[in-house]
Amino acid sequence: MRVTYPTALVLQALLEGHHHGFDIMDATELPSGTVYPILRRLDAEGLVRSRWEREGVARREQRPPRRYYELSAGGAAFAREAILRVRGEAARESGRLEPRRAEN
Amino acid sequence: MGHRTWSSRLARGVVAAAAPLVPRTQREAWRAEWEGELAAVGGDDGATLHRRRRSPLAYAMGAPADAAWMRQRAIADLTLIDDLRHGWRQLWQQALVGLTAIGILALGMAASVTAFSVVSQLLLRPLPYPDPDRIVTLWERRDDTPAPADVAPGNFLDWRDRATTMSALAGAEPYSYDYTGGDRPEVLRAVQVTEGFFDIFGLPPVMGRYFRPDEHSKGANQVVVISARLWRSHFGADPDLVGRAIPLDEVPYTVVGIVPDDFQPHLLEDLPGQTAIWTAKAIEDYEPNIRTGGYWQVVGRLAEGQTLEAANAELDTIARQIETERPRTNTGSRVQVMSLREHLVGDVRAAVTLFAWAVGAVLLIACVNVTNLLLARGAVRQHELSIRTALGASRSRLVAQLLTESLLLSAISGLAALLLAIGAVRLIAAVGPRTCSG
Repeated sequence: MRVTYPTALVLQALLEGHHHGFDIMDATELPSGTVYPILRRLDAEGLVRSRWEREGVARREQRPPRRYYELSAGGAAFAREAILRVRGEAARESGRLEPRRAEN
Repeated sequence: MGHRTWSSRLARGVVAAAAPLVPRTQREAWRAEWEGELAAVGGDDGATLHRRRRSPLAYAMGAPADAAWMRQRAIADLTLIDDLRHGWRQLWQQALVGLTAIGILALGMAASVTAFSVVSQLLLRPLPYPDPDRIVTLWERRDDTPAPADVAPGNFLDWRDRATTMSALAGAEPYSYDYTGGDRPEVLRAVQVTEGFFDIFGLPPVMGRYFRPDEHSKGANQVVVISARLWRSHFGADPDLVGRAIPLDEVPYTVVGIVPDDFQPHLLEDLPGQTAIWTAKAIEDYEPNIRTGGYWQVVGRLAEGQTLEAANAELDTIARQIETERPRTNTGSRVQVMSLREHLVGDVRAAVTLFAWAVGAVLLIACVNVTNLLLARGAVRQHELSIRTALGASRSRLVAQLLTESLLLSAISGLAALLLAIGAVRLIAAVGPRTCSG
């Protein structure tokens, strides 16, 4: 699978423990129109597993359940390798890959 | 949960507006996911589970792109199936055109496949014996009958004794036996072979062995090797058959070996069917004196380093010697040595090559005809294609659709051609010459 710069950012956000679509948007500062297709592609490739939040948690907080994304075992290894690669390419071109993070 | 503001209402509106783009089967889950996230970021007042960095509307602005991506992916998955379905409908609606095209293509392809099978079997496939180019057949030629003829036993014995360009020579005499071991008596096509016959071909037996030299003498030759085909059809491929006796002409013959299916030298094409059994020939006392009216077929193996030309030259010399010694019977008697392959295909090579080219031309004509047919249909479908273009179908999309239809046509034709070709090849094997049945 081809790993673009935004894909590497999404992978890094997942590695750092961001599991929901909007959290990943905040971690990467990418728009939702970029983040979601990347998540779906990673899901289709088996690099990411997605599931629904437990019904009880959502009900307790009086909101609908959220969808939860996490790297599969193969996905985590792939992510580390892909980030290193993209970081190397980015460093060669313009300095370094520095994903912007949410301040939470 | 934070109260809904104009931004969160708008965000939900964007998601609702984009939802129809998502394939129906995934739409509900897709919408639930976006609404779950929007609910988590809450309203504009900041009463939220998720400490957000942008407004709900800003979060939701990517929903249409996400929905469009899902639609695009589903289309990519479904296009081929849709095109196949559409192609099938087209074929069905214009069944006459479709059937004609399928018929033409199937016949053209079947003829090509059949022709190639024959060419491959006759001209391309190596004979199944080790070092097959050294296996030769020997025939008598007489000045008054220029066609190669079967060999008289006396002449064969002289050739065998004198030829040095051959490492081995063996004769085969057509024969038949009544097999009485089954439910009812049956005539089995047989060949009596002289010493070393099987060694010339070099093909090991499936089981057991071939004849020993001592088994080619009278009284010791009640031994038989049988074809693997007979072994399977009459003895259920019994692994213990070797060593057991079977009744031939009401005499027990001990089975000493099983001949593999590949062994089909096709020397005795004047008898129908395939050889079922081989027995060890013991030369009769009178046979060395038989010099005319030959009824044996003779095979040999060229000695190491010898050529067909050298063998022909030597055998010609030997024939002239015999002619001098026995002028009454052997005047004008000569020998022709030809390779086994030449014997098998020599007289049909030109015809088969011509046949293959002709069939290739037929396939070409079939393709041109089908192309014309499809072009004519394309003109009729102009209206349909215009409508599809007006509805937004791109040129590449139309090309993909038409290609899929052609592929469907070819696949159906190919399947029909395969069945036709199997039938044709079987027919040729049944009625065709020598090696076609291999």
